[in-house]
Amino acid sequence: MGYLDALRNITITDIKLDLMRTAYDNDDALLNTFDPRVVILWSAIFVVVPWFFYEPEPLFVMLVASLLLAYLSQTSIYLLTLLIWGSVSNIGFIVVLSSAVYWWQGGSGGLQGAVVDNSVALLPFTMKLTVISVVSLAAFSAMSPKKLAKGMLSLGVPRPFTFAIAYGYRMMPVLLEEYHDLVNSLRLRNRAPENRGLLRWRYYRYLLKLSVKAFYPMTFNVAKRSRVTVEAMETKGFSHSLGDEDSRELRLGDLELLPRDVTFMLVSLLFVLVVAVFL
Amino acid sequence: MSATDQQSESLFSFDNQDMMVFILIMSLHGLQMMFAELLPSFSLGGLELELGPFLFISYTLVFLFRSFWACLAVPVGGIVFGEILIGDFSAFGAVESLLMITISLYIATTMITDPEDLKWLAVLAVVAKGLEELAAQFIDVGKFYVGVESLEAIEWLPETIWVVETAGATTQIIIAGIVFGALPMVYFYPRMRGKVEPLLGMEPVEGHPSGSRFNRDTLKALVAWVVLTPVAFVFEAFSETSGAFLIFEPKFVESYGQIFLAVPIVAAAIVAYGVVYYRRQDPA
Repeated sequence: MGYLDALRNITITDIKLDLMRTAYDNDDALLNTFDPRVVILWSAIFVVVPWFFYEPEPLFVMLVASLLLAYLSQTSIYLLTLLIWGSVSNIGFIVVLSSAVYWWQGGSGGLQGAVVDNSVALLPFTMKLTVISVVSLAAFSAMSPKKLAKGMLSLGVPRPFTFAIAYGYRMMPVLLEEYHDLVNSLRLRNRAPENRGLLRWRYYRYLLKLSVKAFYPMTFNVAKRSRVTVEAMETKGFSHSLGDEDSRELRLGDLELLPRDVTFMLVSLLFVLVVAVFL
Repeated sequence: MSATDQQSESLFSFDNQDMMVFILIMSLHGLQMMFAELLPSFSLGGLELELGPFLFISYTLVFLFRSFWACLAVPVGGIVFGEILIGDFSAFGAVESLLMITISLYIATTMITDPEDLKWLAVLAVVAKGLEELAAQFIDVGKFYVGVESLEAIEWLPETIWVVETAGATTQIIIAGIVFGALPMVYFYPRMRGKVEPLLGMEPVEGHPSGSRFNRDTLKALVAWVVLTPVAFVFEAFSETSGAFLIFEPKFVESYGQIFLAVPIVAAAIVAYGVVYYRRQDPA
C-alpha cells in the first residue's frame, strides 16, 4: 500500500503547487531562453535520434545528458520520478512475466538466466523510451505554454489549437481552484462514514463519490464561462482574425532566431556525433 | 446567438456555438485528466489498475452535444491539460489520441437515435471506449514489434506482450469505460440534458435523423476508423520506422572514416550562422 501512504503524506496543496510551478515558473529555465521553434525542432530530432542506437552505452550517455538537461530546465522532480518509474516498472513487469512463462515451459538456464536474458534484450529499448520521454518532458515543461503556442503557430499548427493551449494555461489554476472548492463545499454538506472500514476504504469511496458529484455544478460553471469567453473573443474579432495574415504577423513579430539558438542546436548535434563515433 | 439547427449544417462547419462546446468539453475533460492523474494507481506493467480517468464527464457532454467538434475537444483537452501544461508531451502520441479518440467517440454519437434511451447510451459509452482501446492495443503491440529488434529471438516474449496488452485494455474498459464512464454518465446525462444547452444558447440535440442505430454516418465513421488506425500507427511508430530507413551508412563514411560526418554539420553551421547574422543586419 505504498502508494496510499505516499499519497497521504503529499497533500493536495503540495501537488497543486508543484503543477503550478511546472506550468508557470519557467522564466529562468535553460530551454525557455531559446527560440520556441528551435526547441520544438530540437525535441523532434531528439525523439528520433535514440532509435539509431542499439548498444546500451551510448544510450546510457544520452540518458544522463537528458536528465541533466531536465534538471537545468527545472522540470518537476515529482513528474520526472513518476515518468521514470512508469517506464521501468512497465518493462520490468514484462521481463518478469515472460521469464516466468519461459521457466514454467522448462526452458534452459533456469529462471535467473531467463530474467537476465530478457532484461538485456529489453534494456536498450527501455532506455530509448526513457530518453525520449525525459527529452520531451524537459522541452515542453521548460517552455512556457505561451511561447510554445507561438512556436507551434509559426510552424503551421492551426490557430484554434494554439488558442486551446493558451486558454488552458490561463484557465488551469481557476479550474483547479474552483473544483477544489466545490469538493470541499460538498464535504461540508455531507457526513463522512462513521465506520471507515479496512484501510479506510469506505472513506475513500465517499471522497471519490463526492469528487464525481462535484462535476455536476462544475459543468454549469464552465458552460457559463465558455459562453462568456467566446462572446468576449468575438467582440475582439477572433473569428475575423483567424484567417487574417496581418494578425498572424503581429502575433509572431517578436520571434527571432539568435546566434545562440543555432549554437544550442549545433552543440547538441555535435554531442550526438561524438556519442556515435566514440561509443 | 441564434439557436441554429445543428443537424442541417455540414459536419466540419465551425461556428461560435461549436467554439463554446469545444471550450466547455476541453476544459472539463482536461480538469478530470489532471484530477485523475493525482489519484493513486496500482501499475503492474501493462496492467494499470487506477481510479479514473473520469470519462463520464466527457461522455455525458459529447452525447449531449454530439458534434464532430465535441468529439475532437476530448483529445485536445487531454493533450493540452494532461500533457502540454505538465510538460509530458509527445507529438507522435498526441496524433494517435487525436485521431483515434475522436473517431471512436464519433462512431458512438452517430448511433444515438433516441436521446432518452439511457441503456443504449451506456452501451455506446462502452463501445466508444472499446474501439479506442482496440486501436490503442494494435498500436502498442505493433510498436513492440518494430521497436525491439530481438523480440522474436526471445521465446514467449511476443505472446507475453499480447497477453499483457489485452489484459490492460480489458481492465481499462472495465474501470475507465464502465465504472467511471458509463455508470456515472447514466446518472449525469438526464440531469444535464436540457439544462446545459440553454446556457450556451442552444436547443437540446435530438436523435440521429435517419432513425436507425446503424446508419450511413456510422458506416462512414467505421470506415474512417479502419483507415485511421494504421495511420495512427504510422505516426506512433514514425520514429521507429524512420530509424529503420535512415540506418544506412553512406559509402563515403567507410572510405574517410566517421569523422567525415562532421563535414555536413560544420557546413550547416556556417550556413546557419551566416543566415542568422544576415537577417539580424537587415532590419526587418
